[in-house]
Amino acid sequence: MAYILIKEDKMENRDIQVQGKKEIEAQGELTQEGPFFVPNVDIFEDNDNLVLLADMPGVSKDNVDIRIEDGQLRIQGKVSKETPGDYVLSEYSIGDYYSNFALSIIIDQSSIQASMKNGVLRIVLPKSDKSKPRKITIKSN
Amino acid sequence: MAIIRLKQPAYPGSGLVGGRFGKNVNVFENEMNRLFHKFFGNDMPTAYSNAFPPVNIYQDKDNIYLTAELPGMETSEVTIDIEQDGIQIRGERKIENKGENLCYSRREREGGTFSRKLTFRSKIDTNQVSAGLKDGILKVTMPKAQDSQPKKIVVKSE
Repeated sequence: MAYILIKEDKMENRDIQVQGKKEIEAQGELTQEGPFFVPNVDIFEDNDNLVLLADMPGVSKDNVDIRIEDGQLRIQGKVSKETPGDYVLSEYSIGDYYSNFALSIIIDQSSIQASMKNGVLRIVLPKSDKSKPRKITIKSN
Repeated sequence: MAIIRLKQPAYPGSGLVGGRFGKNVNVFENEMNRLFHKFFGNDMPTAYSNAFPPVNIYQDKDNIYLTAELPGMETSEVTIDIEQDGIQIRGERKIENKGENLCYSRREREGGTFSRKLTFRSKIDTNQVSAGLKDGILKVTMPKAQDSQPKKIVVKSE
């Protein structure tokens, strides 16, 4: 079975910026085969919460692991490396996701919430009361 | 900012850490790989990998499979057009952006419209194509048309 893919239509119509998957370089010996990727993340905050969104396509709700340890938030996602047939074209690699963030003390670490939908992890980190913005009214004497 | 990433991400294979330079080296490397494969031939070409969404294509005896990473997308946001000899994927990836009072400290997820069209040498049985979107991965199964499958011809003795 030779190539089945002939050509790509270059008449592309898109306004999306492409960002390749970012592979992590191991700092020690890996206990697991295959590449690891750092998910693309958005982090934003409003008055009450800090929200982290991470793209982890292929990771289901049961295969994501979130840990808070020593003031660090660690997210890890496992994907299935099964392929349906022989490769004809490979534009992205398949591997697990791993990322690590430092949590500051202004986060109320006991009430962090996480959800997973369509391969996007969403973590809501509530700010502790003392770090919320306050309006100070000036009393007239 | 209350969240800090500990380690700058490294770009695959470049040996350089972070920043635009690393990315450019990666583009250069992709191009070198492409030329290498073009020259020596390879069963797994890594062509045109700057397109969105990046796709993987597989085949077995009966089917051609296409997978694409579309994190955060709903089935209603992706349109697939099948022709006898190709496939077109279109859609718009929307990125959550609620309220004016948000303060971003990191923005890596990209949104926008996209369209890709791929043509195959094998003919596809367009009536039997199925597609699914699960955990942000699109998978399209395209059965090869009967006339493009290998046929066994029995030689009769006369």
